[in-house]
Amino acid sequence: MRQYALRRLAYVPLIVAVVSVLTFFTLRLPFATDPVLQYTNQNTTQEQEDAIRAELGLDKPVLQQFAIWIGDVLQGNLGETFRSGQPVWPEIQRRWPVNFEILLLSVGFSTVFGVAFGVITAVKQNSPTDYGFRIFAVFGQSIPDFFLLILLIVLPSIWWNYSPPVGGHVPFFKDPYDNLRLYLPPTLLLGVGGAAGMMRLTRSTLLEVFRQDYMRTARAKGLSGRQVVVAHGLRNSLIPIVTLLGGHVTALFFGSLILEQVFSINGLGQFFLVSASTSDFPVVQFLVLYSAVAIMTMNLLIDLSYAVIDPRVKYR
Amino acid sequence: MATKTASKAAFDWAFVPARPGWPRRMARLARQHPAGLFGLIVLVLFVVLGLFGEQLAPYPADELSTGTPLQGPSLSHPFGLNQLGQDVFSRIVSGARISFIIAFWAVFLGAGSGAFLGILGGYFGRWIDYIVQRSGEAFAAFPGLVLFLMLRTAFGPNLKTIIISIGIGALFGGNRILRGQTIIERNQIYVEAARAVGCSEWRIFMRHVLPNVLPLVVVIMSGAIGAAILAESGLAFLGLGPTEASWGRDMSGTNLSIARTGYWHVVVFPGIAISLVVLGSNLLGDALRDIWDPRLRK
Amino acid sequence: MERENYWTRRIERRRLLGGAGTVALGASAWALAGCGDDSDDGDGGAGDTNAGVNPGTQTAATPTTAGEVIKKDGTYNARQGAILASINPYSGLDSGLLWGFTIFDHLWYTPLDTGIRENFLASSIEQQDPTHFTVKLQDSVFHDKAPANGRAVKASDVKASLEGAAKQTKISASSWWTQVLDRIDTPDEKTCNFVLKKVDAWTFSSTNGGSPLAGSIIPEEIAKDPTFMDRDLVGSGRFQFVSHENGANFKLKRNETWRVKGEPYLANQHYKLIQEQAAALAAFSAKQIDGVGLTNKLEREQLEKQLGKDIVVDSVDSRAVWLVQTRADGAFADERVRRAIYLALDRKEMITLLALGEGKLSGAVPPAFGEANTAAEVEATWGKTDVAEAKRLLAATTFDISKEYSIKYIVPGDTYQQFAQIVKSQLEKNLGLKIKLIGEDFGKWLSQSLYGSDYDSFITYPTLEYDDPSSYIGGYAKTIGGRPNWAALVDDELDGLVQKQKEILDDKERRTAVQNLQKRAFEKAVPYIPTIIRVTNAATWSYVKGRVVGRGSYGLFNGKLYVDKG
Repeated sequence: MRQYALRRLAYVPLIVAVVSVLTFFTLRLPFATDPVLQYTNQNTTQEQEDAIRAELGLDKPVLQQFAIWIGDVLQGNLGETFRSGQPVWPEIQRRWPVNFEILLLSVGFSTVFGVAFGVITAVKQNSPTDYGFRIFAVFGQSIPDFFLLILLIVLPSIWWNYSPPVGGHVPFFKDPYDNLRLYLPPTLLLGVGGAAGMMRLTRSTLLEVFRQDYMRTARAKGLSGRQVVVAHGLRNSLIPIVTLLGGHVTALFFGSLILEQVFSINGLGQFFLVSASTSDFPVVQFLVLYSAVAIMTMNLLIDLSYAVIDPRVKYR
Repeated sequence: MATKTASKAAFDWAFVPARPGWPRRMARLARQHPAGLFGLIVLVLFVVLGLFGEQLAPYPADELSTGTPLQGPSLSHPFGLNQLGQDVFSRIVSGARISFIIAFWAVFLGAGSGAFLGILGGYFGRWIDYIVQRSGEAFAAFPGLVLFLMLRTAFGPNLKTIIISIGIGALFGGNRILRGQTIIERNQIYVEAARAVGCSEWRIFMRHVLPNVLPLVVVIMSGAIGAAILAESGLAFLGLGPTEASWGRDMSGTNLSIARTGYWHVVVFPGIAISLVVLGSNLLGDALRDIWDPRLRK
Repeated sequence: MERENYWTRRIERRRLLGGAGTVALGASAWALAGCGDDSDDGDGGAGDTNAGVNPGTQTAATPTTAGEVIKKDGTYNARQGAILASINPYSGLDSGLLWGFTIFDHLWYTPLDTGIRENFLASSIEQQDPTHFTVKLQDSVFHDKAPANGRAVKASDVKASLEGAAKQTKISASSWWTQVLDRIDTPDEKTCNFVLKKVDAWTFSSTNGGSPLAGSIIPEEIAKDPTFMDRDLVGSGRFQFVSHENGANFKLKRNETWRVKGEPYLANQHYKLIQEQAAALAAFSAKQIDGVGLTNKLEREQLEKQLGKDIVVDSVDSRAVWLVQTRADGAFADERVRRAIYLALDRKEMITLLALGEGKLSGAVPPAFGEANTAAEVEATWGKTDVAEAKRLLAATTFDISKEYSIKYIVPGDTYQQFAQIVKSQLEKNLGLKIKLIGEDFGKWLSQSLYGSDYDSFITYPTLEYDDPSSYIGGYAKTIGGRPNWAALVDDELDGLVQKQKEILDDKERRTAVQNLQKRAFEKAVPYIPTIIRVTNAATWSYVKGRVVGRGSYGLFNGKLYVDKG
């Protein structure tokens, strides 16, 4: 297992390299959008355009640009944004807490509710409760997130003239009330939406587990229904749940963008969107790299967790 | 005839009662799974609209002033009209094309091949797993939106960018879940038993492991249809969606702000179309899994 | 079109403040939101003016009750519709205007409503001859922050600011800055001698020397190294920059040493990032922001019903003209082809659909000159629709209607798409053309497709709101800001007329020359086809007092606005 983990870990830099190369060269394909267009106006002369190109470091051959960029990144220098000329890293760092909070709350809610409802519906299979939750889940999965989030703004406004706080991110430790007033309702909504998938998965894997022989044994040796579910059932259905959890984190990594948009929170998703639409290469390159490293690390942990959850799992 | 059947039965390893014809079996399945039948009908309708919607629509999707703008549902315009006087019903019927194209690629490029690779890798491990997982990891590092924004930075707004990013998202989403499940199956006792009696790895894979994970493939594929359509609507909301008439586009932008002032029909009907297809694909997936996975039967 | 980078300013501003639709903010919202008001009542009035404009309604302060006590501790909360990629007015197209109206001071300004130059930092402006003028400075000090630390504004600061701005490529400066302004001499600390390369009658207009964007006065130290402004902003304007959160949620406070004593009345301006229109309306209703732009009349009616007398709604004609630009070469070289397109566009349908019935036909761009014509005249010329005649004209040419043509427009932005859609449908229906819609990201659309003439048939967009005519009629010249004509229009007569009017210093004569030019342009079916003007709606809580409404971005420099939430 340790060997497996080390081997996987050793692989990370290689994949990061592949991702970097892919991103870097895709952005610079000859028929791709030219970022210099962002910085010219109707008076710009060819000399000025060349100067801008040089300033952005786009005048050199692509391979040389890549060498320079990779060299800088390896030295911990992520470069400066095209648009504002600010170092990329602090820009990311400042926006990071916003995403972290959205991610934590949404994934937290979807996992807690999803697993809980999944257990309930599996235990009470084919009861009215089961049908009720399942119908709710199926409908919950069918409505676009953004529509629910817009309703979350529009309806309280019409009914109670209430508006979520505007004016940006408030750190939790500075003002927990305002922070939660801003983040709790939308993440809860997103979380419950995400919970539907988790619930269906938990339910179906639990039902399968219930039919395994060891469950019958457990019941036969006198364990109560609840004990059976918790001690054996849940543990044995954890692998798909953990896998889906990873999927949720991946999806919400910048997927919080819609939430940021509707609730006017200026996080990494917005930064990515603004940078992408203004061809701010250093930011786009780094954000792709950043998500690559984070997601790969997470996937590695998930794969390793299989062995912890189920000791029979062997890594080859 | 009769003797032939009897001898075949005697010859076989177990007695199999004559099965009813497939129409009756189908009818029975439909009776047992009304929700699945509903999902199937919705999806068939979706495919038909996706392929022939433009021919079936009473008005061209983009035709202006087919009636009084923003008029509510009426006999000649069952879903009413939008701000430009376009027939909302026709736009939904024609707009199915974009959703269908995106869903098609997400399922077949994405979930289909992704599931295949995931199972293969999960079972055989070694170099297949190695290659699939490594390339999967490289691409998993591009969540749909990241890939999309990266491609959009380079190529600007167009449908291909959307299809590629949603498809690849589906590809490696399905891949990981199935790999996890296959690893579990691989370590089940019956697999070891089969191995002990000398079954070839390929036979174990085909006869024991695959049937046990296939239901999950169906669930994932059906989920992929819904996820793709929802993803398209999300992009449309951000103003990044396709420029052609699509459900997601009609449900966002100006329509959203007009709906707020009381003209709900401009947004609700495209919304229902989206929800219906997502709902249908989920219900069908559930039903198929129930049918194919004997362990889940009552 | 020659002058200001019109398209840039307009669209960026929409992104900055609008959120939905085109600029949907009236005078009131603009007053603090920081950008030029584009209202236009168009009833004529004050006669001939310095800028040669036929002005609309005078700007006027909103009525206040007698004996009202002015509150000087208020905070105005405005909506910010989009995140600024950079706060540096020199590196963002979008930030320049916002700070131009708040943090930075200017030598003079020429309001849109009167067209008469007013001195700001300048105590006097004397024009010795057409290419030289002298500006004397008032006493003023910079904000008390590094690196200026509250020192006095000197002539060398003005020189460094304006000459520096002229060299910037990232800001939207008109070609006046590069092609007319030669240099500024500073014989002493309070005197600036402007030297021009050539005669330009539009020198003082608000898109040229009077630009709130390029004309911002910044400390010399910063002008020499504008990257300082990536991090902080120091000027000598009415408000001082306090903080921002990643390009959003700006906080500004009153400049206590502002050169107009006792002003501004507002203690703070806070900008709140609200991207979705639904969220903005909710925040407005909950009094989290004090003013909001409305997307259309439906929102206005709903808000009036909901909040009634507690709010003030300003509905005025927009200055933005929705334009269909064709080419003037290739298949479109034949005047009859372009005329057919003029005639095939059903502007009344556009008003019904795009503007929900609230709008009017546009005459010549800019509308100020269209207003010289009556509505009936506009309907008979620029605004005329005659499908049968259009078909007849097109049939007489070699124009190939079996070929597929295209319309390039800007994404994202629903209204741009709707307009392009309407134009496409009308041309297809009325002329039998086949047209493909191509949405393009703004940067590419602007620099490559519009400035670079990289479109094969049509390009559609709303013009920036009216500023001064020189900007628009510049589009009839052979070169626009050093580039070939965007629509490939090469017409010696029109080019000559464009060059000639620039040299007519007498306002009255120049106005006549411009009108003649526009008449000729129409007769020659220039490839810039104006269609309609929409109405902008904006709502403000009535506790916001001392607003300046009416046409003209003069209201933006109003220091007498205050908030009496009491």
